[in-house]
Amino acid sequence: MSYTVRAIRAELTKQRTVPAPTWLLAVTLVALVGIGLAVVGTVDLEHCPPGGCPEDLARHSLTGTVVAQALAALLGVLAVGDEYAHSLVGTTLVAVPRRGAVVLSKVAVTSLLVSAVAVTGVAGVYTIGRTMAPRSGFTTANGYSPLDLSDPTIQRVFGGTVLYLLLVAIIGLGVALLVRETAWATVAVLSMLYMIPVLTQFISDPSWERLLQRLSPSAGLAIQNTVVSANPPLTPWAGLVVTAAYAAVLATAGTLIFIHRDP
Amino acid sequence: MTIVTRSRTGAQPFVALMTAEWTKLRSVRSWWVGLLSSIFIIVVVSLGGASGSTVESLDVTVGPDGEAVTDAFQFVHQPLPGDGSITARVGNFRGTEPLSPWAKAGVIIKDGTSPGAGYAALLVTPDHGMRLQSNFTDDRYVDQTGPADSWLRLTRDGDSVTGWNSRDGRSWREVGTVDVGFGRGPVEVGLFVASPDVFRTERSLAGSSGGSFPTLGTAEFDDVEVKGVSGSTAWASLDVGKPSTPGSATGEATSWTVSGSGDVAPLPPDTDAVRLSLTGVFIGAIPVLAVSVLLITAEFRHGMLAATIAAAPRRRRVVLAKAIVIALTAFAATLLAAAAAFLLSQPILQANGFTPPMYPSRSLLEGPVLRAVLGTAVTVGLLAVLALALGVVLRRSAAAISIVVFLVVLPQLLVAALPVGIGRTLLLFTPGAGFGLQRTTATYEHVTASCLPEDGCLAGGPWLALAAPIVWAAVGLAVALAAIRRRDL
Repeated sequence: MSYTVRAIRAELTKQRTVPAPTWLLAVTLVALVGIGLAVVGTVDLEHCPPGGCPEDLARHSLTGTVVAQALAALLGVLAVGDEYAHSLVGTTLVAVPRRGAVVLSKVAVTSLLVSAVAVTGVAGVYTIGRTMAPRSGFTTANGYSPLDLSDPTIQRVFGGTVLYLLLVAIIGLGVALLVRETAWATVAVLSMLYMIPVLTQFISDPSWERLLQRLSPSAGLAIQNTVVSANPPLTPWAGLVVTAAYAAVLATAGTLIFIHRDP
Repeated sequence: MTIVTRSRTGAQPFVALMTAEWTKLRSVRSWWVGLLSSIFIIVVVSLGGASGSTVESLDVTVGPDGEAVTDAFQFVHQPLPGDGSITARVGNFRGTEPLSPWAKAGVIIKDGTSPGAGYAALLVTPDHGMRLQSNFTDDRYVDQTGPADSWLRLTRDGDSVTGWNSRDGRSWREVGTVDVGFGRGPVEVGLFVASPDVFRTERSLAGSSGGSFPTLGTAEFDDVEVKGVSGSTAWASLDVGKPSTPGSATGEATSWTVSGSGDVAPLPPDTDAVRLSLTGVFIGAIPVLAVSVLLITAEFRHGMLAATIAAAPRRRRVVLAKAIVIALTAFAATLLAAAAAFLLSQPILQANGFTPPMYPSRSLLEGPVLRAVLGTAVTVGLLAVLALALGVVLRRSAAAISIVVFLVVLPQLLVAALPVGIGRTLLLFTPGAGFGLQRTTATYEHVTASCLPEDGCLAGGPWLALAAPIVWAAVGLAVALAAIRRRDL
């Protein structure tokens, strides 16, 4: 068995045997599906102007991503932070002395777990969108086409959400490698994800808003847009690239520091 | 060497416990960094919010007290050189569907025909009965309006105007006197109709789709009688200000049919400039709340709680001391940060178009601003207690921090996806509801204004907003006290 595969198996065993990851994954699933249910169930199309509201059903059924992203990031934080919290890093490095392999195995396992849950959750939301949305008024008669997975846009929205959650988990991992402390890594990750969405709710200058939206670590949520406004701050894939850049920079910086710093 | 005094029961005085907790808080460097970064983030993000917000300076009508007002209506008038009175019967008030519930038809004495001039009016509305209003902000309920017509009368005696009403035109009831402030000089007296745009804010999935629809109200006046003018004075009619639909008036002498659009009321601003200068609190509070959690979880993790409990065996008092210390610390840090954010934002906002009359310059010490700043600090203090309680119960930093952040930040983000009414009520039950106190826009019963939950407009007004954080903190603390007592360390 190759070195890295053994390291990955060791990580899987850790994630399997502590309660926190299981909890986090379960809550992520509940958040995606539960909030999807609430939003699609309470939607109100009665007051739309003639011609219908310019609504984005796919995006709004995935509103739970706002919560799920934080849980995915936490999973990344805990994969590293818990070892520091209980001073187990030393033990890990005795078992797997190649530090690059340790980080790689953590990234691999975290990605695997987050993808599995994200795919399940997104599939649940898709089912809700297909079955419940017509009852809330999203009917062909009202001018809304039903969600259809053979549509490339819908594939992009739902597949992109899985990718986004994956990238956010890696951001969490990178931050935890840099900060080495669960509590402060949690603070950093939550602030990164929520600061700009909260701020853009208040500010009114469009050029500022666009700039902030382009710089936000959560810019990748643009992958969920299906109704594209005339001049969006980011195209869907450009948004995902912003998030990916954060993940790449933080994970690389974290790995380099982890390799060169005394744990 | 200091000897800690002990009471007969063997317990330390509570103040000593609090001093001990304060010493812990003070001596961990990363906690100080956390507190300071909270202050820093609150100020910097708030200033960013202020810099990123601009309003176009509109040509706003100014009322007699310097406030922004709407003053547009159809006015059938004649000059009144001195004291006198006007009497009229008003009925058959109808209009475009839907007619605003605050459409107005009645008699008015106004200091000239220019918009913004002082006035007193006795009027009927479709849904809010008969009202005596003056100088835009003053509004008094007078009587119901029944199916039958109403007789209205205003008498002027110098500065003061007295309203009278009658059900039959013979027996009159005095309904109130208002001081308008137009001295003894000539004024205009007459009949008026105004019907404000119907403003609808509806939520559908993401944004708030809003729209205003112009309306036109029409009322019949007869038995019109003016006293205090020479017999030959002629009536004239015009639209005061710029109503969204032009009005009209037909009739002569004692009988008129008047149609009008517009409104005679204060004009509240779209954006709350005070809340806009405190936007950093939602994110800036996170490090303070993390410190609150760590105050207990760090002790769990490093096995220090055993030592703490050995020194102070009554565990619940330890938790209580921690709660008080962290609540006061969080309150003080937020108060400092919020006051600084408010003061530093003011020049930026003014440069960005937030200028009088729509946005009067505010002082930190005036009532609503003080309430916003203090309310913010009190809310963060209460949230700190909740965070500590979560730390006691969960014993895990990451879990407790995330939950408290979710409880505060997520409702603010997710409420935009819910229908307005549901959102306004739902947000009231979240611990972050206390930030609703940041709303300083004056609300007038007789003005329908935009009221979105994410702008801090919650059901039940500002003070009720503090109830939720108090209950969350109290329940959290109670559960934490029970847990620390029962559980093994």
